[in-house]
Parts: sequence; structure tokens; C-alpha cells
Amino acid sequence: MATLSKTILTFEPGVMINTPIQVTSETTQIQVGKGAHVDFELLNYQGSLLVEVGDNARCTLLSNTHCGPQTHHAETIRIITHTHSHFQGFWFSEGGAETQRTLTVDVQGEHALIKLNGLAILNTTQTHTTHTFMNHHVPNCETHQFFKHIVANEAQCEFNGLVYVNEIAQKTDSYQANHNLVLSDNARAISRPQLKIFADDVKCSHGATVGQLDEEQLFYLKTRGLPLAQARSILISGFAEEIIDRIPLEGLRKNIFLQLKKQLETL
Amino acid sequence: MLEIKNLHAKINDTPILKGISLTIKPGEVHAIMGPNGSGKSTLSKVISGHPAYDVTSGEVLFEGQNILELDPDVRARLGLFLAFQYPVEIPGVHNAGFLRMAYNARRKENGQEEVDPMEFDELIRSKLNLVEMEPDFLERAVNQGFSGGEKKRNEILQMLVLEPKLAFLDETDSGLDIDALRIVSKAVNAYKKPEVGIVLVTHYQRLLNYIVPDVVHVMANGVIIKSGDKSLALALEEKGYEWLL
Ligand SMILES: Nc1ncnc2c1ncn2[C@@H]1O[C@H](COP(=O)(O)OP(=O)(O)O)[C@@H](O)[C@H]1O
Ligand SMILES: [Mg+2]
Repeated sequence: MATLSKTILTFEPGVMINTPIQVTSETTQIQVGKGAHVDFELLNYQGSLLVEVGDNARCTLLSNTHCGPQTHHAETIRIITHTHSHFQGFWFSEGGAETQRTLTVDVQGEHALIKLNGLAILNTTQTHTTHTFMNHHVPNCETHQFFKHIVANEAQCEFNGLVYVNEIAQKTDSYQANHNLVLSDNARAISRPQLKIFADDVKCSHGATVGQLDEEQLFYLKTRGLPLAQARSILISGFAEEIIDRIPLEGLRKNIFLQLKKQLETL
Repeated sequence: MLEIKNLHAKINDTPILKGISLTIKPGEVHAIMGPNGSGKSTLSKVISGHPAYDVTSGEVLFEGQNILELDPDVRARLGLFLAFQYPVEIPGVHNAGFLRMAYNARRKENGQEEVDPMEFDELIRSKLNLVEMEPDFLERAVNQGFSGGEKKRNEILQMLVLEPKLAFLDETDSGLDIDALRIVSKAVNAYKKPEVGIVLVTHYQRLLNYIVPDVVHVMANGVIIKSGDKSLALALEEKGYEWLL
């Protein structure tokens, strides 16, 4: 059913695997055959990875980065999607001195559904940069991007998202959102969402926000008897949970949730 | 239990409250009426400690203690509750979890043990029934995507859970259809007891048919211009505010 070598993971057409496959940095390619259904978990993945999702295949990929304070992390992932495929990716990161992440999707088959989600929690002087390039080569696809960052202390994050719709890619439905929660005066968030559209019959939108905790929400929680520290932590975790709640793999979702709770205690 | 003495407050250097005095005793229901912009919501926000307002003079005593220097959460844990005219939406924050945390904060204050989600679930069912809300409300984010009426019922649910000594209900009846108004009134009446004070801010006599006030105040331009019994509300319904201004 599946050929497993260290560098190339190949899943034959039609295979169904219920538990997520652990992927290490030695892997450079994942091939998900037609109609196959496979999920992946990447732990501190460093390097370059190509993921090809065949016709009618379904694939969820969860990348979890929580490395030591000195680590420089670079992750480049390219995803190629074919007809009627469904790809969902989650990038969760905290820790590390510097993180550089580049996510490219080549939408090559019609009627695909692609969702990229990300959550980064940054503290101290950490920096975190995400580049996404959602490239629509064919008509009739739906793509979503939903990235959130929490920056505390003197941390910095940057989101550069490009949605590119080629002339032929009519009826593209693409959405890109990047929301940043800035918790201190010295923390910084930069958001650069971009749309380049060469087709005329498409539905594309983007939204970006950079903001602090909402004073009215804080006040509301306080009037219900919750002290400031607890009210803050409820709001911060609510901001983050909007992403985590979308993770379809229950076991992984729970782990990430616990990891998040621990991380939020340090903010 | 609540004594407001010559309260003056401003926002962004604009004076809004210009000398409010009001005394509420345990077991009483007060109604505050008055035209839009007269400062009713400002009064409720100042009493609950909103940071945007500056109190320039006057006092607010709750059970004899001046609360103006206390943080909003401390006031709440003393037993003060405000039902917002415009309840705040909080995406990502689970309604049941939020209610339980608020409930536990109050219990901790009273030296009681915190309850776990199972125990809380038991406790909240009867309260949900009172406001005729489906349990799936609890699974949604706080007020997010709730209709106007659902938000108001959620405020009343919070009141029932937190069991305040003094509840300030700011236009809880606005935007309610007749069924929702009946439900909300029934819940408030069920909560009424000798040790609790209730303040209803409203534009409409119809709420006061369901929840009968002991005292009615009319507020205009930052002061209380008239107080009386429930017949005052009927007179206002008939003649409007003009004759008082
Ligand atoms: N942020 C603000 N800055 C300046 N004026 C304000 C602000 N918020 C409210 N006001 C003014 O305060 C007055 C009282 O408002 P409010 O207390 O909401 O009245 P009510 O609840 O009686 O309708 C109004 O004239 C309103 O315009
Ligand atoms: Mg008002």
C-alpha cells in the first residue's frame, strides 16, 4: 500500500490511513495518490518539502514547531493539488529565536479545496516570518488562508501573503486573513496581504488586522468578576482557539491546545 | 444598599452626569427612564467602573463602602451586576466556559469551592430553562452572532448565575419582541427577593407592566429631574417627557 523510504513517502491510490503519519526533516517529498486519504504531523520540520495531493485525495498536514530559544528555523513547503483534492494545513509555532516559513501552493487541478491555517505565539525577542504564495493555475478552486499571530515583549512577526490568480483561473474563490494581537508597546506585527488577479470572474478578498486586546471586551469580562489577568488570558486564548478549533484531528488538536495553554502562561 | 451622592462624571472632558443622587434599598425595584442621551448608560458604566469615564465629584456607596476606587471585577465580586445595553461579542470564547469561570470567581470570593464543568452543567440547566434558552447557546462563543434578543437573554442568564445583590439592567427590554419580553420579565421576577435591589433602565412602560417598580426616576441631561411611584411611568407614557423638561 505505501512505500516508505526516508526521503520520499509515497501513498498508493485509494489508501486510507486513520492515524497521522509522523514526518521528520529527512523527508523531502510526499506523494498522496488518487483518492487516498492520509494525514501528516510534522514536528520541528526543517528544510524543504514537496507535497503532491492527487485527484480526489484528501490530506491534512499539521506542522508543530516548538524549539529551543536559540534555534533558527527555516521551513519551505510546496503543495501541488490536483482535481477535486482537498488539502488542509495547520502551522503552529512557538519558541525559537527566528522562524522563516514559506508556503507555496500550486493549484493545478480544478475543483480543489485548500485551506492554510497558522498560529504563532511569540515572546521575548523572537522573530517570525511567513510567506504564502497561493497560485491558481486552473479555474473553479476554493482557497482559504487564515493566519494569526500573538506577539508579546519585543517579538516581531511578519506575514506576506500573495494570492495569484492566472488569467485562465476563472471562478476562483479565495480568501486570505491575517490577524495580529500585539500585547506590548515594543512588540511589532507587520501584515502584507496582496492580491494579483488576472481573471475577471473571481471572488477574492483579504483582511488584515493589527491590534491590542479590546478594551470593551476586557471591561465586559471584568464586570463579570474576572480579574484583569484572567480576563486577558481568556481573550488571548480565545483569539488563538479560533484557529485550533479548526484542526480536524482530535488527538492533535488536544495536544496543541495543551501546548497553547502552557505557552500562554508565559505571556 | 446603593447610595449615589451628587455624582458628576465626564468622558473626554465632556460632562455627562451632572449631580445624580439616588438611594436603593434591598428588595426595591427602581426604574430609570428618560430621553436618549440623558446619561442612563453612562450612569450604569460609571457604577460598574468603566475606565473611559472620570468621576469628577460625588460618591457611590455600596453596602456602605465607597466603590469608586475599586476595579470593575472587585465591584462585581462584591455583588454588583450590569446587564449591558449592548452586550459585547467575544469571538473564540466559549459561553459555558466563560460563565463557569465567572461563577467560580464569585465562589472563590465567598470562600466556597470552585465547581467543575459537570457540576456547573447541572446548575445551569434550570437557569437556562428560566430564560428559555437551548443548551446549544452554551456551546457558542460569547454573544457572537446572537440576535438582539438572544444577547439580552444571555445577560439575564449571567445575572441568574452570578446572583448579584444589585442588578442594573440597561435597556434589557429594547429590541425584544413580546414573547422575549415576557420571558425576560419572568426571569427577573423569579430572581426578585428581599435582599436584592434591581434597577431597570427603560424607555417603555410595557416592561413595567411585567416588573412593577417601587420607584420611578426620570433622567434628563445628566440629572434626575423627577422621582415618583409607578404612576409616573404611566404619565410619561401618556404625555411624553416634554412636560417635565
Ligand atoms: N465617548 C463619548 N464621548 C463623548 N460623548 C459621549 C461618549 N459616549 C457617550 N457620550 C454622550 O453622553 C451622553 C449620554 O449617553 P448615554 O449615557 O449613552 O445616554 P442614554 O443611555 O441615556 O441614552 C450622550 O449625549 C452621548 O452622546
Ligand atoms: Mg443607554
